[in-house]
Formats: sequence, C-alpha cells, structure tokens
Amino acid sequence: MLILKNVTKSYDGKKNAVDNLSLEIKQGEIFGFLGPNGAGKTTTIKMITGILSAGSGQIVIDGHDISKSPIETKKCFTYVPDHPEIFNAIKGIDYLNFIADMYEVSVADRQRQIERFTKAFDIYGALKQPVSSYSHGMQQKLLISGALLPNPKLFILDEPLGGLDPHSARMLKDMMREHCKDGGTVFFSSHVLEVVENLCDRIAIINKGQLVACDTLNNLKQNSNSTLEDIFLELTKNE
Amino acid sequence: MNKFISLTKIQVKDLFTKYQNGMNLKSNLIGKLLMVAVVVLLLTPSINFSLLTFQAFAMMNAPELVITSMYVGAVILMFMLAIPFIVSVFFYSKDMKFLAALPIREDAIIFSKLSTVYLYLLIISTLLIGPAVVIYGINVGFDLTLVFFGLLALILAPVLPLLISALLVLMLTKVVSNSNKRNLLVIAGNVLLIVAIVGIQLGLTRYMANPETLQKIFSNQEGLLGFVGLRFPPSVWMTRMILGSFKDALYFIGLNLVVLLILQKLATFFYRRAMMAFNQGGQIVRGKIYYIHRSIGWQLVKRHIMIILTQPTFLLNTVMSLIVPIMMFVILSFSGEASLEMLKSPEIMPYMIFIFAGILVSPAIIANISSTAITREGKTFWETKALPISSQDNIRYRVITTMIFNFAGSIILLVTCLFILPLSWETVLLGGLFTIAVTLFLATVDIIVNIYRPLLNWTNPTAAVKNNMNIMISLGIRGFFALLFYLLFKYLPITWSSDTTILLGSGFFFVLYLVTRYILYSYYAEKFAQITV
Repeated sequence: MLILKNVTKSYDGKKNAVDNLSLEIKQGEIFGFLGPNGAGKTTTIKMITGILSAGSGQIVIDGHDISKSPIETKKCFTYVPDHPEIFNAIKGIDYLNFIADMYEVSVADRQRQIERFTKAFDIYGALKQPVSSYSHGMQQKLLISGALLPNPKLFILDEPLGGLDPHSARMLKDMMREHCKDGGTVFFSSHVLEVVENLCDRIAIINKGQLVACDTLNNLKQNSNSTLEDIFLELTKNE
Repeated sequence: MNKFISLTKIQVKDLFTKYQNGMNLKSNLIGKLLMVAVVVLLLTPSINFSLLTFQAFAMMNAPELVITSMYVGAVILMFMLAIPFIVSVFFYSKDMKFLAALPIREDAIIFSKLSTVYLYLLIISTLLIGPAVVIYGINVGFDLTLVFFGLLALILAPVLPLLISALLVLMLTKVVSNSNKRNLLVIAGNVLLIVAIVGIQLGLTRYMANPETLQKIFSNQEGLLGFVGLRFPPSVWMTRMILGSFKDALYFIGLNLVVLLILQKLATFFYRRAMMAFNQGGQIVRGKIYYIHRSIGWQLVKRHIMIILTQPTFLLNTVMSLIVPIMMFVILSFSGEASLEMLKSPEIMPYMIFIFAGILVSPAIIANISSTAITREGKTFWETKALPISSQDNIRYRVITTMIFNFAGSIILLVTCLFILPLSWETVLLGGLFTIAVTLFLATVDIIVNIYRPLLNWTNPTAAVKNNMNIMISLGIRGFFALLFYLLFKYLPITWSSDTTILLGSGFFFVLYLVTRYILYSYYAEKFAQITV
C-alpha cells in the first residue's frame, strides 16, 4: 500500500532530516512510526502526503508515485496533522462538506459518514458553530472525522492522540482497527508507546533521520523480556 | 526590573520584531535600512510642508502658528491612526491568556499595551511637530525655554489622542463584546476613520472657502491662533507654552496628567468588562446542518473568498482598495479640484477613454489581492496541499478569486461612470476590454510574486496583507508599466488616436497575460509545489 524507497530530505543542504529511508507498509496493516523529537517523523509524513517534496528517493501509494501523479496518489489517502491548524472562520459542517467535495463523496455517503463519525466523537451538535469556537480537542476530532469521511485506502495520522480525551482516544483506536478490518491501512506516528504496543501490527523506529528498526513487536522483542520502551530507548540513545 | 517596564519592553520588542518579520525580509540590515528609508520618506514632505507653512504664517506676523497647525494636524492624524492600532494590540494580539495569568496589576497590562501605541505615535509626533519646532527655532532663534517646552510638546503630543482613542475603543468594545459580529468593531472603526478624514477635509474646504470667515480670522492674531488651533484649547496652550508662558504650560501638562489619571482609574474596569469579555465572548449558533455537493472549483473559490471576508483586516484592506477611486473622486469634487462639469468639458472629451479606462482598471491596480493569495492562508496552507488537487488548480482558483474581487470593483465603477460620464458605446467597450486585459495580467503576475515570496508564518493578519514586501513589489510592477507607457506616449514618433492606443494597450496586456499565464502554470506551478509551512 505504501512504499518508501531510499527517501532523503535535507532542509539546509548539509544535514539530512530524513536519510535514505526505505519502508513498505502492507494493505490492512496498522503501522506505528516512532522516533524521538526531531527524528524526522513529521518530515517523513509531510513527504508521504505531498506537503513536502522528497529530496531524492521514491514514494509510492497504492501503485501511484506521489511525485509523478500527485492527484491520483492523494485520492488514496487522507491525513491528520499533529497541530489542527485549519481555516477556522467557517462552520464545522462547511469544513466537512468541503472535504467531501474534494474527495468526491456522494451526498448520501457524506451524510452517513459525517453523522457516524461526528456523533461518535460527540461533535455533531457543534457542527453549526464556527471552527474558531472549538477547543483544541474538538478541532482534532473534526479533522479526524473529515479524514475518515472519504473512507481512504490509507489513513495517515501524525501524533493523533494529543488533545483527545480518553473516550475519544479509545474511539479513534477502535476506528483505526475497524478501518484496517475493512481493508484499509493506517500509518501513524506517536510518542505514546503503550498505544503503539497495543495497536500496531508492525513498528518502525527512526532516529536522526535514519531507520533503526522495522518489524513486528514480537520480532523486536526476540530473545529478551524488554518492553517497547526499553527497545525504543536502547535504539534511540545518544552515542 | 520593574514588572511594568519589563512587560512594556517585551511588548515593544514583540511589536518591532513582528514589523520586521512582516516585511518578510531575510536580512536584518535591510529591515533596518528600510525602516530608516521609511522615516526619511515621511520626514521630507513634513519638512517641506512645515517650511511652507512657516513662511505663510511669518508673512502674517505669526510664525509660531506653524507649531500650532502642525500640532493640530498631528493630533488628528494620531487619533485616527491610534484607533486601528489599539484594536490590534488589545484584541488581536493573542497574548491575553498569557498576560492574564501573570501576577501583574490589570492597569499595568493596559498601560504596557498602550505604551507600544504611544511609541508608534511618538514617531508620528516627532515627524510632524519636530520639523515645525526646529524650523521655528532656526528662523526665530533658539532659547532654553523653546528647546525644553518644544521637547515637552513632542513627548506629550501623543498622550491626548492616545487616551481619547483608547477610551473610545474600549467603550465600543464593551458594546460589541457580547455580539457574534465582534469583527464589525474593526470594520466600523476603520470606516469611521475614513468618514472622519473625508468629513474634516470637506469641513475645512468649506470653512476656508467662506471669505467672511477668513476676514474675521485674520483680523486679529488670537483669532488666527484660534482658527489654526481649531478651537482646540490644548493646541493654543501648547503654542503659548512653547513661546514661554508657564501658565499655559501648567494647563497643557495638567490636562495630560488628568487624562492619564482618568484612564488609570478606568483601566481595571476596562480590563475586566471590555478586554476579557471580548476575548471570552461566546458565539451565537445559526444555520442548519446540510449535505450539498459542490464542484471542487466552487469550494476552493469559496474558501479563498471566505478567507478574505471573515478576516476583518483582509476584508477592510480589500474593500478599501476597491473603493479608493470613488473616494478620491468625491474628495477631489468637494475640494473643487475635479468636477462632473469639468469631465464633460470639450477639452477633456478626447481623453475621456483614458479617464474611463483608468477609473475602470483602478481596482486591479490598487487591490493587488493575488500578491498575498498564498500568504493569507498562513499556517492553514497545508490543507489544500494535502488534497487531491493539482498545483495548477490550486493556483488557478486563487487567481480567479482575485479576478472576482477586481471585476466586482470595476463593475461598480462602470455603473457609476455610466451615470456621471458622457460615454459612447465604443468607449465603454474599449475601456472594458482594456480592464479585462489588465486585470487578467495583474492578477496572474502578482501571484508569481507570492509564489516567489510566500510568507506563511505570520501571527498578525496585518503583516500578511500590509507590512509585506510583496505588496511593494507588485506596486513596483505597476509603476514600471506606468512609466513605460508614459515614455512610449511621450517619445514614440507615431501618434495614434485615443481609441487605437487603448486597443493596442489591451492587446499588449493580453499578450503579456498569455505569456505570464504560461510561465505561471508551468515553471511556477512546480515552485508552488515546493512551498511548505
């Protein structure tokens, strides 16, 4: 579903924020992307989503190369960033209709999906209000509802649990599982190791722009009683 | 360090850093040089005007009135400029949550914020009153009293307009703080400002035009001082203070102290009842949940239009740019420099097509909306980049939005012109053609400027659309073409009829549009794809 081949990105031409990164995420997987602050997680996600262009390498989603056919590729995924910075002078329902039109969701489908997700996240009653009046958590829920609404093949989330209350966090995790059960794929970054440990089929750990591990949790734990936290700290410690 | 001084220092630093960041200049040195250049640019006409005013009053044997007249002008200007500035620092600075949690007195927060506005007004006061005092001193003679009271006048001049406008804004805020249309405050404030400018201009024109009034004014020196002081006692006290009257100095200083005391007494009340209420006010929910399909183009154009309409600074900037030509005409008509009769005179008729085309094309020239089409989105720019739309479409709907605004302005002007100008159908058609060609070109070329210089990390919307070098560059493009046409018109050996000139001009701009369009959607679309927040 998602293939990264030798992807590199440098902001200043000297130091690589992402260095020769290769990954392959299969359809139906929940894939966790871990790394310390500044490791290159958000840069990688921005390159996957086409917000940032890769310096070199190739990113392929569902058979489409993002640099060669960006529109076809972008139709395959939706994205929830770490900070819910969205145009907030419009109402919640305006935002969701906007997203539905961008992904060509039919009126019947959008009604069903909007009601389903916004009711689940308890923001349905706030849809008539301007987004500017929403709390950080509500904006995050609106973004997630918008991203799930087109039923994307690949659902990309950058630090999605920050700002969510325990009920909504649980709801999101359930939705991620359900999305994969229905044939979708989830790629997300997180600092909450416990969530990654319980939720993900496979995990990648990135440090200083380079991939230091990529496997199932059981394989990463092989021959030891370590927790994911121990493995993470060991792999990302400063030399 | 004293909490108040520390707070004021950080507010001032923040203000100047935002100004510099707003100009989107990479070099710190260029930013400083630009600031110096702006001061010099403002100082030159002020010196010239003070000199002319001094000479005029010296002939009436009342040279000191140069200071009075400049003081009155400065106070009016400072009062008007202070209103939007106060609105900006109090209600759109986004630091209220941070400040409210600090262990500082509420009046200290109010006064520290006002201090930044004071510094801004002090620059204006120095630029306008300073040259008048210096010119008066050089010609009449400097003494210690003049230097001391002159400096005092400069320092105290911003206090009165600052405090009056602060009281006005804070009172107005109390009225609208519970309304969901709070942004109207900014719009209303600025519209009032324009109305006040036009009103003062009209009032003065009529006052000056009455010979009997003038005779009375010039019959005695006190009458002249009263007229120049606009019956505004502080200006009379200030003039007499500079001339050495300690009694008037006491009045002038005392007045400023009293006003300061009033604001200090009211500061806590305003902090709690206006500022905090404004920053915490609720929203009234209207409308219903709907599910309607729209095209991608419709949604994107709507988004860009909404970005302008829902942000008061953007809206005001756009609306004002579009109505400037009408306002200029009104002001010129009332001041007698232009009239409908004059436009209908036979001498003007051969140039009617130029006048008409100039009026019609003015929204595209003044409202350079495309040059900030990307910048206006700020940190939300990522949204459209992650959506399944091409860079070309992403650019195209921004350009179309600019065209919608510009053509709306041109259509309003067209209707107005059809009523007031003697226009033939040929003139209307040619003027319309010229306007379409110029609007297409400018809306397209301006977005190239924005792609080349995207400024997305702004915190104050003013930085996005006003204190932005992109605006200067796009105005520079207009200046270049104006100069080019002037030189061609003056030095080209071939002479065409007015209609042919406009037709050729339309063709020229249409070709330029096609070339620019090609470059935009090929090379610059790739560059657009590289832009990131």
